[in-house]
Amino acid sequence: MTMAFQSATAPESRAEPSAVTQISEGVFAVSGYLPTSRPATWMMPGLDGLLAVSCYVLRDGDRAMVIDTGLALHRDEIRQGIASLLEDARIRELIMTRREPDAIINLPFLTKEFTLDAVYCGGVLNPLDFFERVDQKSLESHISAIAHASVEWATPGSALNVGRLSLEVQRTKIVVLPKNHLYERRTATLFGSDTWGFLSQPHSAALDIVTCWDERLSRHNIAAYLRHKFDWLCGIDTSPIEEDLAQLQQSCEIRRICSTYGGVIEGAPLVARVLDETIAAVRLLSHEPIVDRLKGFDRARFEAALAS
Amino acid sequence: MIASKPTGGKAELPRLVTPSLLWAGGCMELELDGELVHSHFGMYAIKGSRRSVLVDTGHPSHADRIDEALDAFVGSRGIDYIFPTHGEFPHFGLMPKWLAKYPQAMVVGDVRDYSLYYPEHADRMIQLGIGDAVDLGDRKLVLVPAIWNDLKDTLWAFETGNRALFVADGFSVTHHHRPGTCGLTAGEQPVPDRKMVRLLSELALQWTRYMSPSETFAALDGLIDILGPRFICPAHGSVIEAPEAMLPLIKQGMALPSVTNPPRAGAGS
Repeated sequence: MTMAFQSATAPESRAEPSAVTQISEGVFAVSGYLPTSRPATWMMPGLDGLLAVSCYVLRDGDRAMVIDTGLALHRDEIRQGIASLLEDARIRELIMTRREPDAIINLPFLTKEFTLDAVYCGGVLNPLDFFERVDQKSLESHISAIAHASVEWATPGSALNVGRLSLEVQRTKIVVLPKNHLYERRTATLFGSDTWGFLSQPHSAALDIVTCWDERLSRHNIAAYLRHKFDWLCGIDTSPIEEDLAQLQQSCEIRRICSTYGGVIEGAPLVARVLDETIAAVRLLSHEPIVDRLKGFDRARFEAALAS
Repeated sequence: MIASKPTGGKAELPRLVTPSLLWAGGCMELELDGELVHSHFGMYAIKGSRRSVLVDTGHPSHADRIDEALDAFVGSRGIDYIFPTHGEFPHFGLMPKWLAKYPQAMVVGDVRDYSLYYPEHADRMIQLGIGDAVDLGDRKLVLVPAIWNDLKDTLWAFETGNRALFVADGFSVTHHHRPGTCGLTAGEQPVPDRKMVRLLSELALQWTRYMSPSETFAALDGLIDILGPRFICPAHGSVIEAPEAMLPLIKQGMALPSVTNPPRAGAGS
């Protein structure tokens, strides 16, 4: 069963547009919605209704931290939602969970319109890791060119304070490109980026908060999502990935998971079960064949392309 | 045979690979152990008898030099198609710039996500898939499967006139090089060290940390057998002008045990 939830305890002085959903004390989602029939590479086939694509805002006192930026297609909703949440924030910062466009495409307008004090990205500052540094330099140059902002690197394991809230950077192995989960300790909220991005919903009134078990959270459904988004998991030795997830489960109490795509998984028992199912899902994928990238492409198809 | 020659063992980008194939872009420069080291962020332009295409868009920090190189290469004829191999910023981030500069240009490839990122250009995107081709007049750009990729929308492409295979993030084995050698082809440089090939592969493509890339060699060989490329053109590495000589070396390196996720004692056999 899924239940939609719009906060009954929205901040008194803040009139929130419909794109904003309060998730917990000081934790807000700003969402746009896509029909699940719309083609997107990260949209799991077979979903019904709408899929939310969200960024999040942490607020405490005069500080605000934006997590990711939402889609350019939803720029108006994002602008309106973030404006309402950042209105009285004196210190405004942003952190990205990934360096992929669905996580940072709106950064130029956010830096320009909301005068961000810092833009953070999780990353290891290892002077000997050439590739990590190349990747970081590429991102720094890119952000500088498109958003006229500099990137500050937050080392995995470190924490960024947002008033009484504390956001910890955690590396994860379920990645395509470098990615971090973020964990807010006071509210026990895990920002899971695209690791669990499959909970669609029937409406766009507010971001769905899923509080009860349903089949969408089963290992088979999670495996279907992971197979779609992270198909390199198929046929590999997944034990390092399973250990990484088990470590996540053991290292902190998680009361909810907030994702870039889709609804929130709410409640410590439900989260624990979802993590167990995710480990099982990853193991299921290890038994599948490695994806055949050449499937469907042969000499006849190539020659047909030449003749067309 | 490469159309332009290195001077004194050095060559910079842009470089003309053939009269109809331009290798452009630039490098990131870093200091490593007290020495300056470069890393490619390349892109390509292909000039057909009737139309031209960009393969990848280049990194924003190289925008001005790519702009100049394209002016010299295609002149007032302009660019008709832009094919980002995938939606990662170093590969598609300059799309708005080239769409503004070349108002007739259309974006082709797996563009499913792009209108979410650049909705103002949604009417200039054409969804193509594996086996589809872009007609440039005397040659075609055929979209082919990406055997090695990161993002799901990655496509490789084969240009039939030069028999050039564009491989996005694949073949990043010469990513790491010294200043002044950015435009050298793989054959103009020392043979890459096998362990470095393995390390660079898994740093560029994270999934290779958890599996042996040799599992993918049959698909790669199958594709190479179908296409018979004369050039392999990576975004993050040097142009490989003799694939038949270089491929065995690359495969030997990639087949080594993982460097960043080494096999555990007692695991497997």
